[in-house]
Amino acid sequence: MRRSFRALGQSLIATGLTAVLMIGLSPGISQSHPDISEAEDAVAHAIAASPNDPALYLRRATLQRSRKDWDAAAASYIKAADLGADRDVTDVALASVLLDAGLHETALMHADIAIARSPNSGKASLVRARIHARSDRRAQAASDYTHAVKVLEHPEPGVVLEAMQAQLEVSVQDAVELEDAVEHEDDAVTAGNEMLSDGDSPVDVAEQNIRSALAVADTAMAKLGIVPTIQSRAVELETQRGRHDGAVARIDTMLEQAPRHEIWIAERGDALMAGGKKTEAMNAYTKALALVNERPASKRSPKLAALAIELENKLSDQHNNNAGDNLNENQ
Amino acid sequence: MRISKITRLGTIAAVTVIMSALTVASASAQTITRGPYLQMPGPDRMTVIFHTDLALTSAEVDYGTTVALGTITPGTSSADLMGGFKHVVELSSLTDFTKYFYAVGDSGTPLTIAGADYAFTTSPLPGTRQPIRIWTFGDSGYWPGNNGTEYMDSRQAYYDHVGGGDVNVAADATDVMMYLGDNAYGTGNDPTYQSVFFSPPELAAFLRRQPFLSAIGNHEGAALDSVTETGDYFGMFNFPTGNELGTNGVASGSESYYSFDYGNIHFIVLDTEDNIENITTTGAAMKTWLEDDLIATTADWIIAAWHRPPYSKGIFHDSDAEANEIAAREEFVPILEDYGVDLVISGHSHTYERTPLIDDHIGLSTTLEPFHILDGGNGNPLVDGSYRKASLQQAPHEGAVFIVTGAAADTRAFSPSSGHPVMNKKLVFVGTSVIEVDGDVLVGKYVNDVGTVMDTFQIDKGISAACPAAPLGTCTAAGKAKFIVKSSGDPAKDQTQWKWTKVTLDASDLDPTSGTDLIACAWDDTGHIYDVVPPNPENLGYAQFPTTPPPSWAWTSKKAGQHGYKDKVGSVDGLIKVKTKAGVGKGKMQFKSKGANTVPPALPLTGVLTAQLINLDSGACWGSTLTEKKNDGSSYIAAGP
Repeated sequence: MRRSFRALGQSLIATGLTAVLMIGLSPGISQSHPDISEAEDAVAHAIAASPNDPALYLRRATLQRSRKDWDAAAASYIKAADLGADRDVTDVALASVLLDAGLHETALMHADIAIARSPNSGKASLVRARIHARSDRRAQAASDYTHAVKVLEHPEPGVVLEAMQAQLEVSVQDAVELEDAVEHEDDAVTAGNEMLSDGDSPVDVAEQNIRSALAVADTAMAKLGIVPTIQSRAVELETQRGRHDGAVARIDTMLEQAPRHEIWIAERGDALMAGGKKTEAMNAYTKALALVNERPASKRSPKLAALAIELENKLSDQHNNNAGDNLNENQ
Repeated sequence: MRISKITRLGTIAAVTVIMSALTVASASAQTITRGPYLQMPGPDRMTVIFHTDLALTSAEVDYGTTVALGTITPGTSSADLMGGFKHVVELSSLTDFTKYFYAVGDSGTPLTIAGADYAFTTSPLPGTRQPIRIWTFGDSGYWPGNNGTEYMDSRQAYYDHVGGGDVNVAADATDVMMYLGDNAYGTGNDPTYQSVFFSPPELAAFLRRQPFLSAIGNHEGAALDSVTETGDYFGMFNFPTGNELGTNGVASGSESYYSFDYGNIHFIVLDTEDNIENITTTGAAMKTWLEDDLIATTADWIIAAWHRPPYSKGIFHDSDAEANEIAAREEFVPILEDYGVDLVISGHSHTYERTPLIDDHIGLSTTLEPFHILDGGNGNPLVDGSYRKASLQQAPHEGAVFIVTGAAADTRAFSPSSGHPVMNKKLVFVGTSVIEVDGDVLVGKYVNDVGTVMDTFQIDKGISAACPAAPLGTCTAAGKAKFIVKSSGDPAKDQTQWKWTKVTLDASDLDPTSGTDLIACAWDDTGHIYDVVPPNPENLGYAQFPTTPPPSWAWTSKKAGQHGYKDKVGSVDGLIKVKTKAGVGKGKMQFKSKGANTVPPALPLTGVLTAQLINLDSGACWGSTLTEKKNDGSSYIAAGP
C-alpha cells in the first residue's frame, strides 16, 4: 500500500523544495520486517510521548530507510530538521534518500546545501559524487569522489575503489565541461583531471585518468595503511600505463604483509616480465610455484591449483624459448 | 615508566569508600558513565575505553601484572553522545598471554579500584597451540517485555558452565568473546547500546574483564554507514583494520570486515549489511579481501562469523528468501570452503541451528543433496563419532559446520516447523554457544539459560586427533599381526608397516570409500606413539570439486568387501598402500607408509606395543598386543598375538 504524500509534500513546501512532490519515492511498506516494525512501534510510542524530540524522528527515519520506504524516511528527516536536528545530518541524509529514490536533481539540491554549509563533509561529498555519477556528470563525480576520499577520516576500501573508477571514466569533454565548475581546485590538481584539455589524445586522457586514480589510492592508503584491495587495483593501473617498476614496488608493499602470498608473487613475476626483466620474473614464478607446491594438491584452492598450472606453463614456455634461442645460436 | 600513584591512592580509596562499590568517587566527583570496556585485544596490546560525565584533566590507565599495577599510560578524550566524555587509552608493549590488572583514572586519581574486577589477559602469539575457549552469540539486544532477564539467565548459565557462576572466573576462562550483531535493537544506536549493553551491572562486570569483537547486525546496520564507517557503532567500538591484533591474514582496511588470529585460530568477521547489499560495487572489496586473506593464513583453524545466516529457517528469517542471507551463502561460502573453513557462526534468527559436516551447499534448501553432507552424524564423539577433517591446516572442501546462535535473549519458532533440512540440530531454547579448541580438536556446545548443554559436536583435524591416550579395552583380537618400523635417519627410507590377518571383519566396518572413518593407532609403555588415517574420499569430496587436479592417490575395489589404496608419493602422511578385506576369521588389513611424509615413532620403543584399528564412526575396534622381535635405534619388528 502506498503512503500518502500529503504530509511529505507539506514539509517539502515548507522547506522550499517542491520539485519532489509529484513523484512517488518508494513502494511503501510492503515487505515483512518484523524486527523493524517492532522498533518503529517503539519509536512511535516515544514520539507520542515526546512529539518535539528531533532525535526520535531521526531514529524513525533510519528505520524507515532500512526498509526502503524513502518517502516516509524523507518526511521524517524533514520533520527532524524542522524540530532543530543538525542540518548537516538531515541534508546529507535527505540527499541520500532522494538518490536512492532516483530523484537525482532534488538530491543534488540537498547535497549542495550540505556542502555549502560544511565544505569538508566527506559524507556529503560522497553522496554528491554518487549523484553526479548516476547523472552521468563524470568529471564532477570524479572531483567530488577525490574530495571525499581526501576528507573522510577513514575512507572504506570499497569507496576508494569506487572513487578510483570514477577517475578512469572521465573523458576530455567531461573535463572541459567541468572547467568552471570545479569547486575543490586543490583536489582537481591532485586528481589530475584538471590538466585534461581539448587537445589531449585518448592516450593522454587515459594516462591522466590513471594518475588521478592512483592519486586517490595513495591518498586513501596514507590514512589506512597498505590495503591490498586498493593496492591490487593500483597495480593493475600501473601495469596498464606501462609503469612496471611501479607495479612491482606496489606488490612489494603487499608482500610485506603476507610474504608467501603465491598470487602476488606470481603477479610480481608478470610485472617483471612485462618490464623486460625476464630472469627476475622467472625467479618470481619459480618461487611462487614452489610455494604452491608446498601445499599438497589436495590442499589447494581452485585458484591456487589453476595458478600452479599457469606457472608451470610459463616456466615451461620460457624454458622452451631459451632452448630455441640456444638452438638458433648454435645453428 | 612512571611509578603508580593510582595504586597508592586507589588503596587509600579502597578503604575509605563503601567496600561494595566498584567505582571510586574521585575528588572532582567524576562519575564513570560507561565502562571501562576492552577493545583491540592483541598479543601486545589492549585498548581501554571509559566514559565520564565530567571532563578529566588527563585520562589514564595504570596497569601491571599484579594488583600493585605500576605503569601509567595516558589516553585521549573527546565529547561523547551522552553529553559527557569518552576516554580511550591504548596500552602497548604488553607481554603475550599474560594477565594484567588495571585501573582507570585522572591525573593520578583513581576512578576504579585495582583488583580482580579489573583485569584482562593478552592474546597468545599467532600460531600458538593451546586450549582456547570462545563464547559467542547473536541478537542479545532483543529484550521485549522481559527486561533482559532471559539474556541475563543465558549469561549466568555460561558463567556457571565455565566459572562456577563467578563473573571474574568466567572471564578468566574465556579467551575470545564474539558478538554476532544485533547487540542492541531499534537502530542499534548509542543510547540503546547504553541501556542494554553497557549499563546493566551484570554486563558491565564482564565487559571490564573481557575484550570482545563483533559483527554488524541489521539493527546496528540501520544506524551506521559501512561505506564511510560513520555511525554510533563505529564510534563505540574499535576493530582491527590491519594486522594490529597479530594475524597472518592481510589488512582489510575496514572495521566492517576484518580478521585476526587468536592462537592457532584465524577468525574472519564479515559484514552482511551494507557491504553484502552492495557486493557488486563497494562490497566487492570485501570479497576480494576475503580471498587474499585466506591465501595468506596458515592457521590450523578458520572460523568465520557474521550476522545473517547462510542456512536458517527462523520464522522471520528464511535463508531461501532474504536477499542478504542468500548473498552471504552465494558470495562468501564458496570462497571460505575453497580455503578450508571449519566453522561459520551467525545469528539473526532467534534459534539455535547447527549443520553436520557439509560442503558446497550453495543453493536453496530444496537443492540439498546427499553429497553435500560429508558426515551426516551428530558429531558427538560419545554418540556416533566426531566429524573428521583430514588436514590440520587449510584444505579445500573437507567440510564445515554452520551454526546459527541468535537466541541469546529470545527464541522464535521455525518456519516450516521442520526447519532447514540441512540442520542436524534445531532448538528454540534461549542460550549461547561455547566453542573450545585445543590443538587439532574443536568442540562446540550450546548451553541453554538453565545451564543444560543441549548440543555437543566435535571436529577432529589432522591425523593425530582421534587416538585415545591409552588403548581401548574391548577390541576384537586379530588372529595374527605384524608391526615394522624402519628409521634410518634418511627420511626417504623411513617406513612403517603393520598388518592384521585372520580377523573377523564386516564389509561395512572397513569401507573408507563410503565414508567410514578409520584410524590405526599404536601405543607402547610411554603412551600413544603413532597413528595413521587412511584418506577418506567422501571427506576429501573431490567428486564435488572437479576443478581440482585429482590427487595422486586412489581407492579401488576389485571385489566386494575388498578395498585397496595406492599413492606412490605418499602425499597423506606417507601412506602408500592400504588393503582391507572383509571376512569371518579371514579378514585382513594392511597399512604401509614410506618416505619423507611419514613420521615413524621414535625408536627404540619402550615396553609392550599395542596396535588397534578403530572405526571412528561406530567405535568398533580390532587390536593386538605384539611381541618384540627387534628393537634398536633404527628398526623395530614385532609380531603377535
